[in-house]
Amino acid sequence: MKRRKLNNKERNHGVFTSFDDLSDDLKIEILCKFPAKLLAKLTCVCKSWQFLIINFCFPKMASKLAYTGHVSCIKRCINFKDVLIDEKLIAWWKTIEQTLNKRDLLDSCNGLVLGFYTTALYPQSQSSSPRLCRYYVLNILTQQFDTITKQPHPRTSRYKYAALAYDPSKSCHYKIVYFQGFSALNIYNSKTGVWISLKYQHQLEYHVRKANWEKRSVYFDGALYRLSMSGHLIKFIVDQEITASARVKVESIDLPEVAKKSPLTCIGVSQGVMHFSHSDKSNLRIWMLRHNCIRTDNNYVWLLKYTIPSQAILSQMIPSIYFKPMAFHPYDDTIILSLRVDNWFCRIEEYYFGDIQENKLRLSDPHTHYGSACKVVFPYLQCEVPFPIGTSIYNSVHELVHGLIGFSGDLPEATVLEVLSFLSYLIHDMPTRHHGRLIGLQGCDNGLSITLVKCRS
Amino acid sequence: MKFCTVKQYFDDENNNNVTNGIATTVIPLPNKHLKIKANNKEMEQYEQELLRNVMPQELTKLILAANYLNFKEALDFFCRTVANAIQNKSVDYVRKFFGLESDFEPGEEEKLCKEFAWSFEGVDED
Repeated sequence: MKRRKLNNKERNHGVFTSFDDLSDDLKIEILCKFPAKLLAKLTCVCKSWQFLIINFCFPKMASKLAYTGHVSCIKRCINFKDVLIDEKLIAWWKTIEQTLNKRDLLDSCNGLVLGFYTTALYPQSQSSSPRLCRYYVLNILTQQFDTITKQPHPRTSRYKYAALAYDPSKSCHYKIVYFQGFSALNIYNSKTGVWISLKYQHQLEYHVRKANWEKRSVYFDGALYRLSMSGHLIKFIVDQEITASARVKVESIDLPEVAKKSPLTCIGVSQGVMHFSHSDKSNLRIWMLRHNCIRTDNNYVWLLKYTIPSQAILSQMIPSIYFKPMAFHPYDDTIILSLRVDNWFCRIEEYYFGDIQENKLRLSDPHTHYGSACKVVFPYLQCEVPFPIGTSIYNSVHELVHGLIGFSGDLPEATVLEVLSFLSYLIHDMPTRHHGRLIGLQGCDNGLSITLVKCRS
Repeated sequence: MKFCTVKQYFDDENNNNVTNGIATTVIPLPNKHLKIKANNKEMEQYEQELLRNVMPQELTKLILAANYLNFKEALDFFCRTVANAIQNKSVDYVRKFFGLESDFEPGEEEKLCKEFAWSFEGVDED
């Protein structure tokens, strides 16, 4: 069907013959009424649609994310609570779990989950093969899973100190922030596909630097926040222009005095405000952070929101030794607590503290028992907006190897080239003792034969 | 509230945004809504009948008319119908439906499809 070209006269009279002639505003309004999955497909229609959908429709859809449950990691097992309702989702999650071995949940931010996994590079080999260590991101609702094949430099085994910076209402791209020691950040941007190391603008105070920092970070308003055992909240501004000489603005915010005495604390964003919670034998206290920007001075004030006697909470639950606040509900005056039942078990419960008269426990699942302590809990927001996949070369090594094993005899040249580039990339990433130069590649009956020659470094 | 724009329409003689054919389709809608009210099935049947004879190209005009008349329910309804019609179809079908042409480079489109691969499952025949 050929589009009839409109002459000026017709345009002025407002006679439209095709969808394309509608105003951008109207197009956006109509496109936003379509479901997210359909929109993702429609980005392939033409460039103007791609632009409108990614820059207007997706942010609009992501402006308010639903919350039904949290995600936690216990004994290297990732659990989604009250999130996996659809059968298709459950089936998809099961297949993902199978490809991941020794999983670690690192962070969850606005619907995206960051984790780390290790897997054997050559699963078929009898002897221990080198392990492939990778960060991965996934979104349960859109059933997307992506592995980041590049690793930060300098390479380290302290991968656990990483966080996710993702705000789908602003951009569909995400950042993975790895805390490189106490003086620099290594940031991966999914837009560019590279890791960049940035030093702090000012060094933190000595006692803040030397104290232990809690592993968990919270992303809020363009910055990452982490608790330091020195009694400070450290703020890292990560949403900034990344240039060669850029520095990360870092600030340490004093926590309320009483909080400096015990480690049972947590931070979280609830109702658009940063909250801090501290619990000890007598009370559970919750504060809100107010940030006043007077000219260039930053002024942070903690406002005490609630004080609840610990006994009041413990009396409503099954006999517990103590509880630790883990996370905040994003829209409600509710806090997620981890209860230490006895030496072996602990449970995760949601506690509603909003109305003093009605302080009550929202029992999540009276029969759930978790063996050993639950280390991390994140509120899982449901984001229907997809994130772009494809900055990594392959989604999994298994995918590649299985794809090639089907061949017996000669492999087509294009495949060989792909494999070579991927393998040489892998080899470059491997620990030094495995450095080798790829000199031979051959398809055989049982799979792939790879010949390496050790380099002299 | 719904009818002040309609009144304006009748008062405005130089009206080119809404041709007669479209007007006859869109304007009876609120009346029918009121009559049928809660009976969803009947409403569905009525809507299906209404759109059976409407070409996809006409849909643009319907949407424009509904927008001009500030008729939110009709706009929602037309969008829903379009979404249902193109939900499980291929990208080419969608292009034909809206009369659009692809302006991507050959590799670009493939890359995009790969990025959002999950949205392509369950594609029907055109």
